[in-house]
Amino acid sequence: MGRVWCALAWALVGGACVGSYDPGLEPSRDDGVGVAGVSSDEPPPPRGEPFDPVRPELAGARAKVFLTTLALDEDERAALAKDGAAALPGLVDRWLALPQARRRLEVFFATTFQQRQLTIAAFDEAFRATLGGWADGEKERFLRSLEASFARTAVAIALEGRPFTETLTTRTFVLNTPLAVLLAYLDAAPRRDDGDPDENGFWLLREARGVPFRLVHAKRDDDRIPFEESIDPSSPRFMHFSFRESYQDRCRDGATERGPLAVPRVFGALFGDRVGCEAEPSVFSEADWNDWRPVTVRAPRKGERRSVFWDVPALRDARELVLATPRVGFFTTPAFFANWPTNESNDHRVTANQTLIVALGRSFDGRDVTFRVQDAQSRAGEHTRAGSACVACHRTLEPTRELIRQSYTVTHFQRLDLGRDRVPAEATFGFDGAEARRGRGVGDLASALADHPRFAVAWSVRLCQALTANRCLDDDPEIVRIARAFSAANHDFRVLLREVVRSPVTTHAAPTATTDSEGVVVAVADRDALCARLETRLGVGDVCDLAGASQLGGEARDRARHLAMALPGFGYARGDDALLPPHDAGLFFAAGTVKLCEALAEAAVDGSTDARFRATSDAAADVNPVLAKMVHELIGVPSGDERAGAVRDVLARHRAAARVAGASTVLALRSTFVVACAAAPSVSFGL
Amino acid sequence: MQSRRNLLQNLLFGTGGVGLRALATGLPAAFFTRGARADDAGDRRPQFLILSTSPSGDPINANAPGTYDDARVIHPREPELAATTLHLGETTVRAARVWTRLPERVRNRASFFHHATFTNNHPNLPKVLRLMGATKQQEMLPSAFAKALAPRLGTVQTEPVSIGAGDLLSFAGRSLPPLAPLALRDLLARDDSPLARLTELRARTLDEVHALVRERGTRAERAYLDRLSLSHRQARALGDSVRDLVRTIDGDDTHHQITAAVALVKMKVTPVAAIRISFGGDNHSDQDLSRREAPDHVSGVDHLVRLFALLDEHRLADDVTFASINVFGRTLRREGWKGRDHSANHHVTVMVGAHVRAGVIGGIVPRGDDYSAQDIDARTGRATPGGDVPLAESLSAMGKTLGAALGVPKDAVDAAVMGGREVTAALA
Repeated sequence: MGRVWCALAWALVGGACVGSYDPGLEPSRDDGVGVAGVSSDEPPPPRGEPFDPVRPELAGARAKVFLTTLALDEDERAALAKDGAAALPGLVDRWLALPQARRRLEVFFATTFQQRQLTIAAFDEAFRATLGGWADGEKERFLRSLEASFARTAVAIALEGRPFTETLTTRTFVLNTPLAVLLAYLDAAPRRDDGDPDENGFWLLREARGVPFRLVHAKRDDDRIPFEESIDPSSPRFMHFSFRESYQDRCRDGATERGPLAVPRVFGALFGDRVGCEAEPSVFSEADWNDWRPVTVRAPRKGERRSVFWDVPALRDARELVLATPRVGFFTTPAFFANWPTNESNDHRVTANQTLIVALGRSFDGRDVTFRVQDAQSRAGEHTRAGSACVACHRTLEPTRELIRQSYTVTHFQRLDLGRDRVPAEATFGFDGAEARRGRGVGDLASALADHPRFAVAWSVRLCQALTANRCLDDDPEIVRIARAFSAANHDFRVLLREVVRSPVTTHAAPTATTDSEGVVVAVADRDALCARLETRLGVGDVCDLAGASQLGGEARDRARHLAMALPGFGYARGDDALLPPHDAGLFFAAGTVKLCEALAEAAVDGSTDARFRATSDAAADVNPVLAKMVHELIGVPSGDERAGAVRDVLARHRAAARVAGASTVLALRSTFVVACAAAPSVSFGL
Repeated sequence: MQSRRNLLQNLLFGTGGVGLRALATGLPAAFFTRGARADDAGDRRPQFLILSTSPSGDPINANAPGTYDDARVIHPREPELAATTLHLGETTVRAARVWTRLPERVRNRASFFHHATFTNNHPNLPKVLRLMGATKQQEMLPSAFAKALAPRLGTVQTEPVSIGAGDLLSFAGRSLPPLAPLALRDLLARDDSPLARLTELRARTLDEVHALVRERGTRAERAYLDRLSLSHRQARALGDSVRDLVRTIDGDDTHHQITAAVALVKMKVTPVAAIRISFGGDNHSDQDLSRREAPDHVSGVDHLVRLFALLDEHRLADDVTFASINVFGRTLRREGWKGRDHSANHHVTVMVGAHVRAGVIGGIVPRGDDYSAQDIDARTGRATPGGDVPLAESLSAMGKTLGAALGVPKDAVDAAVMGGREVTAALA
């Protein structure tokens, strides 16, 4: 398929880029190594060797841990042993009803819709913002909210059985109050491509008739200006925000800002920013950060007033935002934009390419294809003009990004004047053989992508790869069948999940075109998956401190975070159209998992009644249930599994040997915990 | 002629029982021998590679030696970027003053190789590391070189380690997970806690558990378990030699990436460690080139100074070659003082190492409203129209030259890289 795609891309660009593509070269896919076995340089299995089928219980265990982080229960194991993969669709429905499934899907969608990996610097760059002065903790909460918002939106679409194409076309997003404020602010303070304020769009400024933003030094606590007064247009202190501390001389006299620059100041002030002076508490409560609900973004009707970003009381519990800025699907969220900041040179090409990768699993310039730019850039922009060497490379990319340019400037605000900015009024999206569609703006791009035949294939492949940690071929008859079933079910994600999980392409119960070509791998659990697994199984919130909210204390918390960061993650990279989880059990994975388990041993095992694994005495009556719990809950071996007894015996011998070596009851059980926690089935997918 | 028995005995018990130690720890036998060795065939002594690489397309090309002879090329106005005389071994060139910060012994083995990367697209760094289609099976250059160097260096693993290069590196087609300096520090930390004293006991128990799982496992499951068990054994054998060094790590920035890279080399973990040293980043809107480019050049060169000081301190200076390869260079003139745009036509690879001959390779020529790298004469290293390294093959030539400088045998370099030729003028 790599070769087919390569040839297709070559045909698309028609050889216009100066000939460096050598059709005689092996297309990379990627690097031409059919990975089979486990080590990345492991040779594929010898030809003619019979397929080694995987037991259905293991396939089920892998699916359950993928969906919920939980180990297979004994009744589930028994059902799988009896009915094989036929039991899986029913089990998937059961697992999807568990609260852990929602959390796992959120992480999966945050990754696959490329809403994660955010930094303050990236957000500032994308939106010309300055989050640096916000109150302590607010920046982190803000970034984590940005990352979570569309993932929650996608989970709602998936679990309610709505067409999954709505992830492209929806105008309803799951938001909390601070994010509702953000969207309303971005609508009220537009910027041009060059980053300058587009004053025509500052409707709130016009309405406020030049009332300045004013920072006022409150010499006493009683002098603080209540927020209600700050946002009350009838108050003499409208748009006045106070600050208490003034360690710097320049802060003592306060500050005044007029015109367009006043609007971002007000936005920052809501989050505690006092423009270089000591930050104040933000106006958002813990409840505001957690009041997630679906909010529909719609354009104002004639004469209708838009949502006002500083009117926080009105935005609390709002189910609708009235904004002129179009928000549609995953690719117009602030998180997506902040992942892929563009500039006047790139001009939304990166936005268009990443949108295509997420929606259809394809890149305009796939990694299988290499084109050399050799005579480009004789003048600025010339390489994209008609007749120049690279124009064909842009034949599909340029029109697509125009659809984004029509709606957004490169600073990711609404574009207000197409003519002024020399943006065509209409553009075309045509890709990968689908009929070209003319349209205008991100709404039309979303519709074209949702109707594209590759959508179902892309998500079938994506889910298959996430479950197997290996490449899945989009022309594998099993993938084709799954994609058809997904389409026929009106793109119900639950149907896709059932079909993928029960298919031999992921159960490895029988050979498929994918396993013939790519082999079968057992994979390590990636960072998120392993940390989520430990969080659930140990009952310690954010156990690896990946969200900055670990329930562990002090040193253990820092160590857990650093060690978790040594584990391979499941992330995306710019231009990479094949999202594959890591699989290799290398040196640092082995060392990292043991160290992480050692760091968690104290939190997991002690003598208290609320300990996850309680060490009280050496009596068999006390020890055996704890060891059985480790075998089932930590290692993931159900009680009916023939290995369960033997594994428990090994752990028991370890505990006893540790006692003989002088360890206390608690220490001996902690050491036993580390073994169970770091054992291969505990830290892997598919064992 | 040795009998098989003698051969086996020598392998296991010869040279201080290296074979036995290798068996016990899972580490390659060469790990226990001191230093790397040159092959009988006369190849250069193999080198570890510390690679600085970035998809930002830093303007390191814009102020490198070789760009100061044309007065129309724009450089930052800061004094450290002003032209001065620079001695690179026996070669004297005009260059930015900042490069004089490098100690003489470093400059005496530093080469500035002018070539093109043929792309102006940020995401194409992986493709540039595959020499834009000129590596066999589209393998990344660090990956191909690592495969050739690992057995000769006796490193624990063959795969490169990305300390600061994100997850852009791949090995045999698989993305390599990054390993941040802080993570490395905590991985190698050893304590004397009561739990730590039971490490060996746990290791044996883990092996028992894995043996149980292995019993009924499929081929893939057995292979995975073997790999994991080997990794556990290797992990336990590491760490002591660099404990003091890694203890100083308290961040993930460039400073600590350098410390981590040196530690990995000293431990002989990997033949290739990738870091990120900024020389100005993606500086489109770097007004007057003074916000990013100028200060980052100063800090970038200072990072190099520290890297080589650290290598000296640990007696690794003759075992490590440094190279800087980014996705593309930046325009030298076109955008004036507004910042720099991407250039597909000019990039400078910096190489410093024991087998590198100091100097400037190739050069620039005006093209349109900007500049391009030129054809090169491989013997003299000079920019020569019609030279035996045409511009179109300059990226491959850089790859082959770097391979030679790393001590990768010529047949392995030729097998890995298609097209281009070694630029002998860059090799000591």
